[in-house]
Amino acid sequence: MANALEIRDLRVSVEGKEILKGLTLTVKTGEVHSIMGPNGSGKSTLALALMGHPKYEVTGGEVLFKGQNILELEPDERAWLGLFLAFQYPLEIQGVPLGRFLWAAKKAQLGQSETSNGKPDKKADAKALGEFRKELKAKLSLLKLDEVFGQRYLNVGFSGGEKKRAEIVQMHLLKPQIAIMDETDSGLDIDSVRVVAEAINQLRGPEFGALIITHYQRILNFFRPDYVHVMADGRIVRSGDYSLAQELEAKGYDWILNGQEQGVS
Amino acid sequence: MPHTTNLQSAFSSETIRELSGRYREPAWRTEQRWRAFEIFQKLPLPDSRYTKIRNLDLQTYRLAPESSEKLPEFAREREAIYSQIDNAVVSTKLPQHLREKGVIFCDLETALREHADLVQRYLSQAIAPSEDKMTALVAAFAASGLFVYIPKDVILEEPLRLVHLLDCSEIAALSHLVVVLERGSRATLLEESYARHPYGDGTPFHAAVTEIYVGEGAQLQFGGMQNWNEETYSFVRRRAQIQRDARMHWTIGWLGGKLTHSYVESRLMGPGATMEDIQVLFGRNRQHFDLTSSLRNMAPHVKGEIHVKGVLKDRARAVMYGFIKVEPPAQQSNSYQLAQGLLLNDGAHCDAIPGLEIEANDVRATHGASIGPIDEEQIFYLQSRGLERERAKRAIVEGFLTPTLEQIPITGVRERFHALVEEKWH
Ligand SMILES: Nc1ncnc2c1ncn2[C@@H]1O[C@H](COP(=O)(O)OP(=O)(O)OP(=O)(O)O)[C@@H](O)[C@H]1O
Ligand SMILES: [Mg+2]
Repeated sequence: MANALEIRDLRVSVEGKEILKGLTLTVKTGEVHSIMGPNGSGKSTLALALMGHPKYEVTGGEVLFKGQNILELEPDERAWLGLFLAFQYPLEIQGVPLGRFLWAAKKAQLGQSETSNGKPDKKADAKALGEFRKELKAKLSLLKLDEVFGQRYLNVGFSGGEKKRAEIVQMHLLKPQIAIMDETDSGLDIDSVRVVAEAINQLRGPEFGALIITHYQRILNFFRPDYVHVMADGRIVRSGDYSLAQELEAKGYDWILNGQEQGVS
Repeated sequence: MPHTTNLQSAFSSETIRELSGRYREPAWRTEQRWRAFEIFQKLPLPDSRYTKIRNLDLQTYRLAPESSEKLPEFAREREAIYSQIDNAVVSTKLPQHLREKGVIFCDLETALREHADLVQRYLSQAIAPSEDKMTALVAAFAASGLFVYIPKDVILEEPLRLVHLLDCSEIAALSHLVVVLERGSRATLLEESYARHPYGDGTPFHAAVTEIYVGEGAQLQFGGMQNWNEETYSFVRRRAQIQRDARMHWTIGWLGGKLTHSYVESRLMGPGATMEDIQVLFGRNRQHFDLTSSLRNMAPHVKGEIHVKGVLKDRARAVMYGFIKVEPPAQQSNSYQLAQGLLLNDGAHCDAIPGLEIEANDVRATHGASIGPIDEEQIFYLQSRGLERERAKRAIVEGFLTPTLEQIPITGVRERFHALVEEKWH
């Protein structure tokens, strides 16, 4: 059975204001979904709420991941289960080198999934660290980032595009089953969009599912999502296949939003 | 040879007589003690608006040095090291090759006997005994301390080390450090302060004065690390006089003490002199830190930077004063100060108090301060990658301190500091 992220009638408020108003969506491993929608429609709210941001209060509905209700879980527990969020605005963290941080995250993840006897095995640790270093180097190179980024402090002084690519490096190393990418393509130059899209494509397979939030068809051209959804005012208002993205690119959102209003009235 | 005579009534005229007799001090030195003693009796404790000194009764302390002991774990081959336990000088070691170059590195009383003229030229010149009660106390009663002299153009590759251990909580541990760098010389000096009993009872007391003279074009890196136990009262006053084109670099880490009262002043006295004053503190429980960094620009084209960072946990408190004074001759000088505080919970407290006094018109002087709790957005970001909340907070705090700690001049000490911070989490 495919592992799935099942969002059912999700309602989320921020500072007392309801942003998600009953959103339903299922993303299975093996599938790539894309969400498009106007500014302020609640896309990032959905992403952050799924990851467990404390400011986003779930007031209704449920979210199952691999059949387990994750709404009561801490963000780190969701990560251990295999959920990942590439941030629209990655945070800068002074003094925390990217490589060392990822190694800590990796170890936290392994510590959760393995039933170890709790004894530290120095030799195995050193070996794992060696492998990790190699992998980090390979992933940085995949995303066209210099090796020194491993030593640089997390996102500090990174350009906008470098931050986004570093998010994908992290995603590659942590190997989630379901990844949410919030406007990873925004702020990327044309070549970087291709680099990022190719990196996402590499992960594609029966064990990996993705929810890609974007404003541009550009990135979708590179990996053809299986489903495209349009979000407006806290709900999914239309779903289709890749051709919907093409249609949106040509016509904008108005025809859908107006159509929806008509449908409501 | 350290003596073990017991001095009963500590801060008295008998003590001064005893000290000057015991060490056969020159008359001017004894005279200095008498004057300082008079001032000591008149001045109040250095209380301030943010720092009230409670439950400190100086009359309850003794001054006797404890028995001499070796500190083998600190000493390394070919290293210049001075160690002191309470008021007893335990060892002073200077490698032969440095002695041959004319470097002086010896305890203060020995220096008074063997290099009286030099000592007279520098002792209590940068810091007047009258500055406050504690400087007067040190000037009047300190018999232990270190005198360092680096001759012209001598460049030291290895750091000079000073280790001070507090052992007996009934003793007032005093220390007077004088460092002279002649023109064109370079050195690194590291002062480490530890408690023999990390959780001892009683309230140890410590007061120290450090006077530094950096000659023309000379460079001094001063590293300080303080980890007294959390019952200790500690008063430290340090001043560097920095001449033309000289460089002074302070890196000081504060971890211990119940009440730590520190004053660091850098006087940029010659054109082109520069200084950096970097201090980091980590406080927990009810620790209180009162740290002043003062910068005086006294000549044109000088440059100074003050950067103080604090992490405060539980009900710990820190007051970080930063004073910059630009005097009329200091045209085209550049000064900057930054105070940053990270509060780990509600009861923790940090105040940054900047002071700018500018008497020249063509200068740059700026300051910044940021104090607050750990950013929840940052915690969430790290958590979303699989770090548990507590682990995420620690990563952020360590990251906050790391860029500063990396400037501590000795790897071993840097690592020890990291380890001590780690320990303080629990
Ligand atoms: N932390 C917050 N505090 C206050 N309001 C918020 C917060 N987060 C989101 N909102 C509000 O919720 C609404 C949806 O915001 P959200 O960021 O989810 O939109 P979005 O679809 O991601 O937009 P964009 O395309 O511009 O990224 C907006 O009106 C926004 O102002
Ligand atoms: Mg958004």
